[in-house]
Amino acid sequence: MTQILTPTDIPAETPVASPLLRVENLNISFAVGRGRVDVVHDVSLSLDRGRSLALVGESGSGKTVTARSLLGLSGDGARVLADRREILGRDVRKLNDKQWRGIRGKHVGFVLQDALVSLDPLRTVGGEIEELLKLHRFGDKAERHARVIEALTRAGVPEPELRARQRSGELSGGLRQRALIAQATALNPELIIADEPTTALDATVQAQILDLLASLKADGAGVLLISHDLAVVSAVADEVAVMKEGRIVESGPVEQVFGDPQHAYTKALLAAVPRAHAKGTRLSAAAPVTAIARTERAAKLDPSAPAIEAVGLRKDYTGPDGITRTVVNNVSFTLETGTTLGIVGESGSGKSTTARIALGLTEPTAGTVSIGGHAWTGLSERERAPFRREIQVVHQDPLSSFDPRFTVQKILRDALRAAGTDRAGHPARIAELAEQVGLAAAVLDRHPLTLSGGQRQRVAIARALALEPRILVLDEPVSALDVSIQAQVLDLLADLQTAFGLSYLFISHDLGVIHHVSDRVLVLSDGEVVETGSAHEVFTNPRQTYTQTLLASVPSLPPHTR
Amino acid sequence: MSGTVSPGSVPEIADPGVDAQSVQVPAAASAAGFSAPAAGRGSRPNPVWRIGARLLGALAVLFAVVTLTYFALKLVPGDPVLAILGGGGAAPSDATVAAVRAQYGLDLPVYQQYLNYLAGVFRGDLGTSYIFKRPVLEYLGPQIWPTLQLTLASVALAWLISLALTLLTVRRGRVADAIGNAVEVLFAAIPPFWIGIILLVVFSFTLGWFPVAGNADLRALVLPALALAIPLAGFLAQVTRSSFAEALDQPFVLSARARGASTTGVRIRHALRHALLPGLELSGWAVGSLISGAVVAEVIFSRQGLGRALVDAIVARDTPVVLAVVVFIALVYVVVNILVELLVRVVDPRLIRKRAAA
Amino acid sequence: MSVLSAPVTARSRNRFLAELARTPITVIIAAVILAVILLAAIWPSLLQSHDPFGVDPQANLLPPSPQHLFGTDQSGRDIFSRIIEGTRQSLVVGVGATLVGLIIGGLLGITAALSGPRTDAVISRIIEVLYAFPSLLLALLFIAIAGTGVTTLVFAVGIGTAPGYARILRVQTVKVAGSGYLEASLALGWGPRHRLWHTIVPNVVRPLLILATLGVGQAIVWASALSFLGLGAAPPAAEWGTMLADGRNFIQLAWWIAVFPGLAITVTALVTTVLGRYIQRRTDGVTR
Repeated sequence: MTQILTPTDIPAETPVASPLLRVENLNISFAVGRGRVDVVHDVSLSLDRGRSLALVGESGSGKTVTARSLLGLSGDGARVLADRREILGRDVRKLNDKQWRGIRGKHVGFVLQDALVSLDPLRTVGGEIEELLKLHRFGDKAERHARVIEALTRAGVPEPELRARQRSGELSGGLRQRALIAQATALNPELIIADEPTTALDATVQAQILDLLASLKADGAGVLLISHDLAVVSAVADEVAVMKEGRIVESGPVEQVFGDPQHAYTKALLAAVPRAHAKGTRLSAAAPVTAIARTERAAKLDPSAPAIEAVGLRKDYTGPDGITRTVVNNVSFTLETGTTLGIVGESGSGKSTTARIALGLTEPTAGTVSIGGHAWTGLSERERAPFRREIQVVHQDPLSSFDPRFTVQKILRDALRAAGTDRAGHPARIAELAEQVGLAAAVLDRHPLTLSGGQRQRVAIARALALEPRILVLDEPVSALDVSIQAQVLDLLADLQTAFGLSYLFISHDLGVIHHVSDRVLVLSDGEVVETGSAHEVFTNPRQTYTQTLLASVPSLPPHTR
Repeated sequence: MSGTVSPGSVPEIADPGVDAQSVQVPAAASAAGFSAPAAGRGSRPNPVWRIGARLLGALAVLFAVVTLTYFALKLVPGDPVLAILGGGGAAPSDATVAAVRAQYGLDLPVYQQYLNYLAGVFRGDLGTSYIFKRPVLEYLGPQIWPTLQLTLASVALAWLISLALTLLTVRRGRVADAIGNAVEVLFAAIPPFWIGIILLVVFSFTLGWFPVAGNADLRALVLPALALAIPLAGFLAQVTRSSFAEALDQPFVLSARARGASTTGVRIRHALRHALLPGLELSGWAVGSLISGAVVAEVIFSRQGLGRALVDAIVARDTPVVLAVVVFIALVYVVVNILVELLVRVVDPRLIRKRAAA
Repeated sequence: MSVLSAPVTARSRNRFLAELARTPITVIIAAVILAVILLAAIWPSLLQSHDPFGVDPQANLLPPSPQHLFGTDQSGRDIFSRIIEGTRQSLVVGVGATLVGLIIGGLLGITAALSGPRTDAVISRIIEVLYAFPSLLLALLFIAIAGTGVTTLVFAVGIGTAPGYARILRVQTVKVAGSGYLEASLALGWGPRHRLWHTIVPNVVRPLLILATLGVGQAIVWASALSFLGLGAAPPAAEWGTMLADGRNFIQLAWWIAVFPGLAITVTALVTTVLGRYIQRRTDGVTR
């Protein structure tokens, strides 16, 4: 068992022609209460060596459960049935736990999302990889150590000796993900299952991880990629299977499925991806919001002045260690009334701090902000309060911004009261707001906790609209949403902008989203403005190398897809 | 369960105490590039300096406890001299009272008495018992070991019970889980003096397996230790069982299973370690609480010990003894907490950032 | 998996019944027992079979029988009736002590969290020092100063538990003060007074119900421990801890004298724990 070096080291009885993975009519159900819930129906898959198959779908589509059943790890209470479930030509339907353990890690490597939690945070990276080797009785201590270093090196981890002694919490996001891949591939498994391997990573890091997966494929491994991101899939996969509600609705070569989608769901998914040429067009099939003219109130802001004018913003923070860091430096921008300014940058670029300054929640160390011609920085809270309703915010995670005691109805009523509007009109106004953002009336009595991500985001938007603001700061408003829900929310935001003449400060790490929504774009990196210009200019003809690299690292759908 | 952020899930919230802005800062370092060095985690103070600060803090707590207790006990109504001279019944002459007052230094101003006491503490002199007319240390000395023995045995037993309860009942099917749950709640609700009496009735009177009373040997330690351990085990198990279940839900457990680890292997090598942490942090508090809670076991099983000495002293208004016991308990609390902290670092070698925030 | 999430039941007339059907059986049993305990506390004579103070030398040390459900003590008093008699005091002490603990702990913890960093540091140090005193020790110290008696008992136990509450409430307040929804109410334009009274206070107070429920049972245990040590209610009183201590002297002759009062304490503590944890689970998602 010590010689596990080549991908061709497979059970001898296996006919060479058999594919790496073959699944026919896979059905998975879970025990829930007294009954069972079916989550995967009649799924059939096949994957050869040196090829990559992608399972694409949104949350709840059953793609993750399908992938885990290939490791015999579907979870407690799962019932897995299939006409055929073969790995390396071996029928795995009736394996006991011990036999499964012989396959896991050795023949099938499994890569999960975010290694911060996918590697034991209390153990060193090297220790985790070594555990794999020990479990499969690989070599002696020295050989194992050598293999750990080799695996890390192969996964592109610099200074492998050092990294092996560190814990996942000490590594950057990209390194963590590489360590995780090293862990899954240390024994050269023939099949690699990667479940959302790049979600939560910045674009440039994502590109590097995708390259790594592609190189594993080139070395002869079969890669089963699970993703919600169509662009990621198109970068690595040869074939794709689109899943919806536990079924494969369409499958085939990537070019065929993305280039000429047959199923309505595939078409909708592809249309939902915000891209350059989709700008101005609708992403979802949802009907446009029927604009309800809003009651005009005395304008506090000058409509002819820019919605937001920020000049020379700087923000320093002193950490607990006494070291002062500048997280935003010399940032200036202008948001013209009725338009959208997109701020794009990777994590740590200072975009959220910029948003907080614009909202008047953080006072800048230097620089000024004015909204609608009114000074907005350097004010006392008492002076600021009357203008607060003019500039509202929607966050990535609206849940934490809702008082946990409140139902949706109360959230909206609280906002209306904050605006000081007449109480008698509240019920009607709440109904109107719910309609404007496309929330069913039944949702009003529920707690946000029981709502879906898309619904929560609509509640957050409704709350912001309740104050009839002129400006909305949208801080990663769609980053936590599935692509079809994202499409609906982006369409909604576009409708509302048209209806009410709102000005948007739109912050996102997603270049596609920024390109789709923005009139002008500001590129931030390390707290400084790298580039600014019209969306068209910045995306088609970036002047700065940073922007060019950033744009190049984004996987995009093949241009011929509709 | 799927990889994307599902509607029900809430993005992880940063450590409480660390504000949102400062969290962003280390991220800036890692965003600089893929091959950037490990994200800076703020300052890493020199360990010697840190241990020194920790010891100073411990001393400060001890000092505060002594001071607080000293002045609190000055509020005890009644003239201590009367307690010294045999309580209200005795009718000592004024001359005797004055003599005793001078002998015990009670004629000095309070702050002077306090300073004398502090000076005494540094010399290892905790005063003279009002009742026994002997140095407090000489009187309490023989009581310390039996109580420590009882306390340590109880903590060890409590850990044993809660670990067994954790490993045997968490995620072992609905029945096992329900049993674990029931036992943990029941144990936590049982008063130690009641379980002590029941153990006494069953194992000493009826079965005759263990001696009824005394501190003679280890056998005499079993029942009192068990009486104290059972309620503590209930509390510990609540913490370890829930954090064990939480750890088993973490993706790293799935990763470990996916590399071929068995269920048992994952439980012991990965999840257990995570489950130990909160229980360990509770142990400092538990030891302090046991050492005074030992009194009930000492009363039921007629054992010698600090707890009984304390209650007797409170009833007899023997303030020097009360003060000494309190100081001793605080000392144990402080020492155990330092040990626990060291132990926690062994189990969780990640940086001390959580500590700093707490 | 959203597929697996149970549909939310719509409003209906049978909402109560539906709710009841979903409630675990242990919780229902606990609620029923609590109702009986409350009844015993409010209207003891309804449940008593004998005069709890009626001495009957002829009937002393009788084992449990249909006549005397829990037997009789050395003076021939009916133990069952005495336990019923003692319910009110145990509950009053438990609830009173919890209130005292919550009020003192709350004042310390919430003030610390809401004041500036310097005051916070000072109060936190005080809490830390108090926390070095185990609950029972703090209670004993208080008794050493204030003497024995039921009122002192309430305060002794309350003060004993206060440092623990102070810690929890400080953390809870810090959490609310740093919450997204507090910031959201600032962004909506609410003033400082509204944010304090309509956002911070209610959200800090919310988990108190759970804390209090869990705390009452423990307070009863602490209080009876002190009574057991002879530092609480004086012997003739029908207090559970005192009865238990009393029965200890006859343990070899009549186990029931000590065992049943202890059972009463355990059951009360158990019931409050079960209910407290149930409320906790129910509101968990909402009380972030």
